[in-house]
Amino acid sequence: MNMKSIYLRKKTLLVGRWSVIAALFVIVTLFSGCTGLTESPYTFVDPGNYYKSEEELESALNSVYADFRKFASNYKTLMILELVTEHAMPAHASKDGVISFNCWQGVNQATTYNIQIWDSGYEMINRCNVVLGRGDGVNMSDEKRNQVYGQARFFRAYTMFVLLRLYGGLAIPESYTSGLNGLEIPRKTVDDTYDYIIQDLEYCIANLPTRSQWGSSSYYKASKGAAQALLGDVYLTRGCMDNYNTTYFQEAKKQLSDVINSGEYELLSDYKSLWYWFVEEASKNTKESLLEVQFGPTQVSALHCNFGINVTDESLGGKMYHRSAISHKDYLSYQDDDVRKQCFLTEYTITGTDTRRYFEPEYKGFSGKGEGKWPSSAPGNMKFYDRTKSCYETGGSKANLIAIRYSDVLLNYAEVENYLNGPTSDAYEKLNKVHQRSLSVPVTPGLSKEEFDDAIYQERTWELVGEGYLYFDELRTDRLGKNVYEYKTYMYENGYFNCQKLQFVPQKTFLWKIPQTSLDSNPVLEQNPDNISDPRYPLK
Amino acid sequence: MKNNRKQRGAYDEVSFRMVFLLVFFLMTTVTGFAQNKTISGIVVDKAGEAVIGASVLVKGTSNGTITDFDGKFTLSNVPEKGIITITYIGYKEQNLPIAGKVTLKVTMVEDTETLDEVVVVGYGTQKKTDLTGSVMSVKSEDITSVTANNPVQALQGRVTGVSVVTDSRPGKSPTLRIRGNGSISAGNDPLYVVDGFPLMNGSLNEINANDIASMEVLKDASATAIYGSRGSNGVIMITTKAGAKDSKSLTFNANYGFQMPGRLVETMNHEQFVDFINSAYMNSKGITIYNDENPAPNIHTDWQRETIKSSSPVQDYSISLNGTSGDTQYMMSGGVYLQDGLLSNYDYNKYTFRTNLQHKFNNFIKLGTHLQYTYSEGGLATTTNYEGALTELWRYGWPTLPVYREDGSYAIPNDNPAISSYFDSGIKWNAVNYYNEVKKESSVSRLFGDVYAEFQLAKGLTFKTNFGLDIANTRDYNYITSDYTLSTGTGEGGNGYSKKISRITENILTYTNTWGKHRLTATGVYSWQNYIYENLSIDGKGFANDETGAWDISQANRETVDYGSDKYQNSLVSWTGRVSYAYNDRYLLTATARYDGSSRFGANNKWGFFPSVGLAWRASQENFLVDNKYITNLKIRTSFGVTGNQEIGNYKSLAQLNADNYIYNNGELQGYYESIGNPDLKWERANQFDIGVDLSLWNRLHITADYYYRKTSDLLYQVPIPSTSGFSSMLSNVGSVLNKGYELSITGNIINTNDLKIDATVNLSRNINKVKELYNDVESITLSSGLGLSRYLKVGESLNSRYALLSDGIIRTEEQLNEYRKIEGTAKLGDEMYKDLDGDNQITAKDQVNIGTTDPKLIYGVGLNVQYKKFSLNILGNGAHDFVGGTSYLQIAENQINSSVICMPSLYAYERMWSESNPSGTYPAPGASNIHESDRINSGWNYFVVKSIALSYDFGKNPIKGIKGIKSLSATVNFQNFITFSNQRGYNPENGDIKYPWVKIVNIGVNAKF
Repeated sequence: MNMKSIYLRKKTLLVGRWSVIAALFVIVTLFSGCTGLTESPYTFVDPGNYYKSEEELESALNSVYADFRKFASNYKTLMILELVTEHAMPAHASKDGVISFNCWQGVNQATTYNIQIWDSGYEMINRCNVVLGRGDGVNMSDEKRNQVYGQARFFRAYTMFVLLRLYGGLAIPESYTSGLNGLEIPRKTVDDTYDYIIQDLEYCIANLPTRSQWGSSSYYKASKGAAQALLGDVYLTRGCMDNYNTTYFQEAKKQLSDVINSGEYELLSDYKSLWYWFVEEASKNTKESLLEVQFGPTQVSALHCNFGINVTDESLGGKMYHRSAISHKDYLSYQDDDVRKQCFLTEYTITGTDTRRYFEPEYKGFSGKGEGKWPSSAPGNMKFYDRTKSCYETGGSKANLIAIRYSDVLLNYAEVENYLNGPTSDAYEKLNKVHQRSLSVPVTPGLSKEEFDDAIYQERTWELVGEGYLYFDELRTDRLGKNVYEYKTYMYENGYFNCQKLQFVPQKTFLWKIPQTSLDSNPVLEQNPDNISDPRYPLK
Repeated sequence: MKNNRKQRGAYDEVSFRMVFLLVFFLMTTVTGFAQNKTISGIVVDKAGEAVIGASVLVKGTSNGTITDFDGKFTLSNVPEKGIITITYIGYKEQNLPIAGKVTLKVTMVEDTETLDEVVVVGYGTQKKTDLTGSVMSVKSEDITSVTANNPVQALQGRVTGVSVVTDSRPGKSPTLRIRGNGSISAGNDPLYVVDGFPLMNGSLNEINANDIASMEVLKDASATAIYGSRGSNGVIMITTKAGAKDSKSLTFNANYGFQMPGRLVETMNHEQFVDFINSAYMNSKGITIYNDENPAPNIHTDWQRETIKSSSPVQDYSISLNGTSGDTQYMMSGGVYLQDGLLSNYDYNKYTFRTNLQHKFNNFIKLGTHLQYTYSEGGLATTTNYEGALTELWRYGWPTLPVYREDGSYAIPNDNPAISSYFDSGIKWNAVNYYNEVKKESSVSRLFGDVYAEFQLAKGLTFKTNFGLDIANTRDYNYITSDYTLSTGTGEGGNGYSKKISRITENILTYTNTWGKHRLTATGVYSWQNYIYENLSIDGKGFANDETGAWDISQANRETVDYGSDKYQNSLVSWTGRVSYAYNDRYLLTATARYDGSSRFGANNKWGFFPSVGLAWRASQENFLVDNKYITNLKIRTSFGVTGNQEIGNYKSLAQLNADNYIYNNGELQGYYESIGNPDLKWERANQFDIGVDLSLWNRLHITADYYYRKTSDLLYQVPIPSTSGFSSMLSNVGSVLNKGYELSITGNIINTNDLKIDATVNLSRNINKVKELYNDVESITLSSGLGLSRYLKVGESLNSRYALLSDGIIRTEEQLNEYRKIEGTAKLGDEMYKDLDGDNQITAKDQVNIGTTDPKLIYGVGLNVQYKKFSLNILGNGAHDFVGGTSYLQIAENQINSSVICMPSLYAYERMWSESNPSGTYPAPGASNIHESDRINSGWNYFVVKSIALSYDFGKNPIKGIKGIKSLSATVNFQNFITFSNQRGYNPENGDIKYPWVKIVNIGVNAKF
């Protein structure tokens, strides 16, 4: 028995030793290097280790362009800003509150009926600030760096100018966001915001190449000419809002004439050549375009479907909804020989059949009525359409959106010149350039200052309807309230489709409410005061 | 001696001499005293039938044999004073002294002593009597009693605190929650652990229910904290069958079922429909649809019958072999599960193979493996927009529409200009077409298993190390043919691959010791687990030829081809420990702790600590109770602990550069933008307390009751940050949610005689959920708001609360109408009135109140087992009481809730709609306006489903003359889901879903064991 117990002790030791060795071996081989808890991202890059080369900084700038596309081609902004004017009418959908916006319902509240562009504007501003904040450490020439900065500051200015006109004085972040500290920024005054924008654009003018210097490989980039045109618009707007201050108008005229005299830009001979529907790829980045939002086969636009005619047909390209359309009044205001009138879709034949559909204004926007059985409330606006096969199949349009167009520069110049010196021949010349491209008869000569101003506004409507300019033009020229009051009342009283009773008449000082969610997240942000309906146009 | 020789091989040269001496010593001593003889005997069960394959062993030796087909055995070389041990699975071990006997008759007694069950817990097993936590176990026969593609369906109605909502679609998993929802935006699914392998890749679909020996549901912190950062939502442990000790068996299962649609909605006949649609349009628009100018066509299409098949088969076959051969325990199985859907292009088929092996190499090393391979193929005719084609029967499925045109092509409402304008976006609708022409399939090839080695380091001390791999390769395919009525005339579709790999290694050191009245088990674990996901997909449009479909992507129009790929991974490293201690079988303690590190969390919070302690007192072992005839078991348990939830997705703590490209001249310009990270991001943390009691009376009535309190804090939520930063929110740890509740389970052996046995079970669970805190003193967050069902997160109310208007009844009289017109100027007779709670004379979202929550106030299950001679009857039912249901098109139709088109009600609702001829109608009039979701429609739902009624006959042993070796043979007929009670008419009685018909099954099964 003694023997047995000795054996057992030995056995325990043996087993213990070999097993421990085996186990340790297994542990060592299996788990060395297994304890790392750092995450290995495969599909994104760590910003802390980035921004070393010019190329990497360019990629940050490219994301500014990508975000600019989202910001500037936001169909809701384009649509709503046009819907609240007399230039558009709501279509069939009740989606996006089109009916309510059309009749100015609930404009003083900060939730549902609102221009929800505040947050996306600040996303844009932050992306610009990332470029500006990260660029200093990048090894590249100062000239190149300043060009990158110039582009970032251009888009920051563009965005802030849009937000300023919608909401008033802005909160201005000092740099890009990298953490949670110092994010509660109060608003600055309107003047401070203007000054900030102007400072940015002056930097752009000093540092950005011209369109021809960029060359055809870079026409998409912000150029000196685009900055001058934008600055001209900024001064024009500031002058109008500041009681027609001529100091600002002088500045505006200077910037705009610099663009015109640069020889970089010209009007295309045929208005139709601006649009994808007619000339496809040739419509892109022409000499008439100062800044263009780029689309293509892999980065498509959905703008066409929101301003469509509520059908899908192979001959018309991608699937269309119908949310807003040109107002009947505007469509009918074109002279029949005006080339621009051909840019509205008023008839088509259903593919594979002989069935013709056509627009009949007498049915007041009620679709499917009458012989033509037009499926929508108004003609379609072809400016965003792409009728190629790929658009029909993917639903995405390859058409670009022109953000600053030379005809706008000319019309702005004519307006400023009229403010400063009356309808001079210089002013007439600029207006007629635009007018006569599409119409044979020039603008009536000998108009008074006011008549000339109205003629410019009429020209802007014909030239730019549906492109997102007209709301701002009407507001700064104090036309918005009167036009809205007259036309929307007419539409309602005559029973036009989906046109409801006008609820509010905006004044020149109208500001949108900052969306409530944006206010909630930033306690130091002050909301705009309630707007008061224009007492000159009492609502019934 | 045989024994010694065998052991010798295990020793190496170094110990050879020792062994030699020992062998010599033992041989001389043992042989010196032995006076051996031969004995024979027969082993029978209580009914006197032979037990075949029972193991007969001389105790303390390896001298043994097994019984033959007649239950007989002969054993030679048996010592005069020896004891023989007879064991057979399912029976109690018998130890008989041989002294003076040469023939023996042994009667085996069935092992019904449930209290000595062993229960699987994290990283080990525990005697059920030693548990301090709330753990419930479901055994294999219950798991296979319900035909379902996913084994967790079997938990429905069986386990307290577990809510299961059935998804009838083939290949779909039910929604399962243990003790309520503790999280707002991280997951609420429990952790599934299969044979010790915590699944990172969720689905249990690929597991064959026939392979499962038991499922344990771990509910409280004492049981779940050992899974640390993954334990918050409860844990379900699945253990597959192992080779039975000392016997072998071959089992064959065959089940064939007929699936039939249940709960189809009764619809209006032709005249009723014409009356309805005309009255509805007259009431709302002042027009009629069918009149002299446009008479109703002489067609009456029953869209439900056209779309839903009247029956389809479900089949389940499996074969399984298990046993022990020498030192090897083995189990191998194969299974085939074939399920057709009740809609075209829906099906789910799987083929499973499993091997579980354990080999005792010698006294200190055991090696083993669990290995499973599954191939499955499933089809779901779904595209993003038209998964709900069946639901849209109630919007567009006019019985006056034909399914096909005269030329055999699909008809659409747009074919008839006189009515097409009443279909809005449904002008190309055809449900039959949608299911026939849309294909979405995926096949999964999944290999899943581990290899382990267990070392007996010293007495009571074992070390186990394992390596496991779970790899699932999925192939997806989808195609919409050119005949799809919404297509642009050509086909579209795509295909893709994805791969999910989870690797794990675990090292477990276990020490067990018993001394005096003390029993101790200590376990330490180091584990590492990693998960990687990859995918690649491509799709395109404009396929000219439906024959090749999207398999040949080059047939698509190049310009439309789109593709994408992704990859991510995460890792978890853990140190875990547990001590279980029992004193005198009365005082029990379990303490666990886990230290978990997850790659998913912020640099400042990678590691978390999750401790728990559980205490129990087995009062029935105390002297004053030990011989008590009434109280045969009484245990009081309590536990407290901390668990976590890490299901937030990957890379959420990191600042990222994300791609956002621009384009110029059709060339992409690479763009990157920055997001901000939160380096403080960490686990959701649940503090959980549980107190429970297990009580048995007369050893026939078993009661388990629990109360729990679980507060989850540091909830992951996208907290708004000043949007002027360029970002609207950041994922942060804020706020807390409380779940508390009661659970009660009662099982009784009502009758227990030789011929008749009746058992009944009832279980009840009640969970109360409350938001305790949101962020920064915010009291309410709007998730969705409107005049329909609104969702808010409000402090003091349930996460799943719904807010709606309060119905004030149907406007039946002119007086009511005049009064209500002050609130709703356009109201008409037959509209519904709502309470204007804020008194502003308008009905707005401000008039909504909390009408309840989508979580039932009470869930319950009942079971009844009756065994009469060789017949047995099992009935299982489950139900839920008082919850809020969502709104389907059926309800929109029944109540004429505002919609862009007039929706078609059920016959039930049509007959109850208010009209001048039915002035006491309880449903709004046809074409009524300003109708919204309300407490009338959405609250107070309840249901009860008789899940299964199974009748079996046990043919017993060797029922067929001339064929020996059949250990058992039984046949079962099972009626599943035949009886339902629900106070709404949606197909699914549990949640009103109408995406897929309710499936009732008649199932015929045969089980044979050899």
